[in-house]
Amino acid sequence: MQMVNFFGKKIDVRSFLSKLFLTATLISLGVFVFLPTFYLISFTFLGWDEVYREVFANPLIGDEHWQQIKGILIFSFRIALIAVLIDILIGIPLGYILARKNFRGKGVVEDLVTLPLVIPTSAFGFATLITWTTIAGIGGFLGLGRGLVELNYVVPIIKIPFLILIVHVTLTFPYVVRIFKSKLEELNPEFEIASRSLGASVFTTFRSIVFPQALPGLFSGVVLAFARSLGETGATIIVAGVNTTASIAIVKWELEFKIAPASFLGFLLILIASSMILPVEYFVSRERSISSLPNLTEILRIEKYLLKFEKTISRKLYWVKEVVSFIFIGICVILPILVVLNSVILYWSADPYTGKIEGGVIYQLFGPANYFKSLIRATAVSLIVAAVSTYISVCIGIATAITIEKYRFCRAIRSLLKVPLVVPTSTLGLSMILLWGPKGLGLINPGIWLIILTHIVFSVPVVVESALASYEGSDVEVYEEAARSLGATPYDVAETVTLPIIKRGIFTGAILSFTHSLGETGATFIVMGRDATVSTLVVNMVEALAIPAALFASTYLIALSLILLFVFRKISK
Amino acid sequence: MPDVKLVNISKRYGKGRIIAADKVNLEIKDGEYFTILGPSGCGKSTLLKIIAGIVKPDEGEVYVGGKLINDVPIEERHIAMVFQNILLFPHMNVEENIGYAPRVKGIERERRAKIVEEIVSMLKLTLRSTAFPDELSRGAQQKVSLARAIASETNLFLLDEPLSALDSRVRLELRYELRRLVKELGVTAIHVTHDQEEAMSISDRIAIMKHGKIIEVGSPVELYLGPQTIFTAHFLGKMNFMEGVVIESSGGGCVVEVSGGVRIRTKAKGRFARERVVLAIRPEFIKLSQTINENNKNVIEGRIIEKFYTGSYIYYKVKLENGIEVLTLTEAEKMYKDGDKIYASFPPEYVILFKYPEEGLEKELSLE
Ligand SMILES: Nc1ncnc2c1ncn2[C@@H]1O[C@H](COP(=O)(O)OP(=O)(O)OP(=O)(O)O)[C@@H](O)[C@H]1O
Ligand SMILES: [Mg+2]
Repeated sequence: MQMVNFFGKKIDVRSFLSKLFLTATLISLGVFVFLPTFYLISFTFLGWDEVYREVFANPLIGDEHWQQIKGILIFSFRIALIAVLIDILIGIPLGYILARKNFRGKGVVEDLVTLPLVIPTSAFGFATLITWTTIAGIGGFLGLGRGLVELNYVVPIIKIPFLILIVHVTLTFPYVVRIFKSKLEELNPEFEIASRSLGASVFTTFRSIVFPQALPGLFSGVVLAFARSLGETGATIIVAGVNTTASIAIVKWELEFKIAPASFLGFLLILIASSMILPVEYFVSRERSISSLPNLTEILRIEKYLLKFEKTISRKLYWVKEVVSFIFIGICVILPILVVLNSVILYWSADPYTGKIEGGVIYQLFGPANYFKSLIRATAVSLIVAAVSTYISVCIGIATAITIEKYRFCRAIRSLLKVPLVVPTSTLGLSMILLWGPKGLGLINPGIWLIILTHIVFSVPVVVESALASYEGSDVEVYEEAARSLGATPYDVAETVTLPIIKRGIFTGAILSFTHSLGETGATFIVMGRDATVSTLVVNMVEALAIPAALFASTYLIALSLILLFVFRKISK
Repeated sequence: MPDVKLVNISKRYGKGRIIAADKVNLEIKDGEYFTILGPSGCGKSTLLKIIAGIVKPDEGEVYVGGKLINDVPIEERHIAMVFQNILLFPHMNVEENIGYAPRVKGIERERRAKIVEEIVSMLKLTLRSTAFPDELSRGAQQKVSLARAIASETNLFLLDEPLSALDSRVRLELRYELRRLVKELGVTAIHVTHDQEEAMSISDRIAIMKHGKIIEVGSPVELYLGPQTIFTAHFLGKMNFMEGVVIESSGGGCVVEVSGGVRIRTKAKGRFARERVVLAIRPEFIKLSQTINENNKNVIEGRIIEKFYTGSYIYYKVKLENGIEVLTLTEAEKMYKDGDKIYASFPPEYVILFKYPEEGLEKELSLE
């Protein structure tokens, strides 16, 4: 196909169009995804004088901000580290059970594992809060007449507030379970039979055959879980009590106009997140990465004892993994939801303990405070944001996925796209407002449009990743070549072969980004202006101590996410 | 010591619809190279998996060395398995793969290295021990997996189509290697295959399997020359079948009339007159000549209609005067042309008789 352009030169339309496509994709990726992600870095450098003055040499408080930042960072890292360790302890057995065992109700267990990813975190945080600290929760069931634990109860030894740990573990373990499980499913179970026939017990087989091969999956899951814990805002803000994590600090400081310390903290978080994800990406993508790891148990000469121990547990304690996994899911996922449902019924017309109707759900929703109206408005905002940002993300995501598959030099984009996934969302929100808002380019004021732009940043990577996963999962390339050999143009191929095959992956990505958008709190708080979304509204209700209203809103959000989960399941089956 | 005994083993899949093992009784002697041979899907692998402990039988008992092992888990059955899809651990190199069984037994690194070295020299493996499985050819991979099985120092080998995934030259080579090793190590081997030539060339004894049932057990020669069932006769090597009726039976054999009123005399005994039978003869026992030779018995005239070279031998398809087509095998020095008139002789001592199957000959010959 040739065409003559204005200057009389012949150009190839096809190659012109594909260049245009490539350029447009790269530009939109750059503007919508990478620019906001990395803007904070350049902002910090450009405004270094001010940052330095505010953080390290404030005339009034000296380096107080720096001391705070250090403390907060260490605190957040301790939480993320412990949460991830617990995730691993639960995620490995649970992932193994889901990948290798068949039992009735397996589908339900899988849904329960996915639920924390779908549920708006603030609603979930609130559910956890009342489950553990109020008479409506476990304490009430046990007849204690009070909550089981205090809001600020700190777990001894690890010195981490109990509630923060619980919500972080619950909100992050699905990453470890899901990724580990899908890695296990790729592994031929016959390797395990081969290993056992050579005399290895079930546990030894797991340690020496299954685990090393699934390790890259575990790594990716752990990194995502770690990052998610660092960036978690919605649930944390509700259960934090007197504590401040990094992402809460950013939200707070931004709202108090302390831009310099907030952006410096965000800058550090982005650096840390990228320096964590990129080496892991590199390690995982390298060939024989696992085989190059040293065998610790042999070096320490404990292999013999370990083998004996594994033999014993393979014989006698094989049921422990099931019991532990199911108890965990029961307490951390199912129980809070049941407590919220139960409470919303109890509090429906009046406070069950004082009998006052001001303490009932109905009064708070329709009384003077009229939370119902706010809720409806917030729902509208949330749905618009989720729909528009998902739509745009899908468009950019499809183009990006195709670009990554077509052009070798675009492979690096895939790794880079992991960075927005691990940047704490409150940091992202800060970056957005500094970039587009009145203090930056001045193009967009805080409000619904800025929320949409923000949600696009973390939605695009999700869509791209699931599209690529389904592209690589089926032999698309073979079919593409077949179509080309039958005379289809590259555009015909994309339309008639590639897209239909990766459609499911795109759907999965779209649903994930839709639910993520509905539930996002950290970034939304910063960029929403007056357009509150449902998940931020729950936080506002809790802060205004409108507990019955928060109960209702949480129930409503949980119901919404259950519906989405149902859709998600229909599509991913 | 590892003699294996299966008693009344049954296994069904798919809510009982698929019968993979149907009341199987089998005894395998210590030190024997035993092969289970049968068409695809007949339940060979299932039987092997039951011995290995991978699949639990619905009924029946498995004894190894006289001990009932139904409830013993795989890892404690002391078996060594070799698989069709090889299954070398991809994240371990050759040395680590071979040393895996000693390692999980808790044997220290130094002794392990010795064991590996010994096996490598025994197998004459000329591989880099630091190579990873995906850097080796399929044949080399299967050799390593054999080495890995040997390193477990057990004396019962279970081999599930170990050669099927290899190309034909390597397959032939490894076939003899397998038998040599098993005999050298003095172990018992149970080998599953659907390749009758492979089974014939390496086994001490073969069990023929069909539809989850053991049809017949015997040494390759017994099964080849004196099959007790039409299925065995058909499945092992090539065989010509003709339907017929016994018209005369005496102590020295009987006479069978096949289609077209042609009569064939056999040495088969114990048949009674007017019995419907299936007459069978292997291609290599049919003698062809262009002239009538007084010494030949059961001579029938026919014409060459097709021929196939196999190198040193030639198969001729002959259409006999009664319309029946038979396959014959002769040395390559005797050359006939298509359409040549020929006299085919069926020596009575090689003509075998079977009772006519209830469900008809066609059905009996089908491999499903
Ligand atoms: N796990 C299973 N679930 C259901 N059916 C099975 C299972 N394993 C085997 N079967 C069925 O049982 C029958 C016997 O299978 P088996 O694998 O033992 O046959 P085989 O003789 O080894 O065949 P092949 O030569 O194809 O390996 C087959 O019809 C097979 O489809
Ligand atoms: Mg098989």
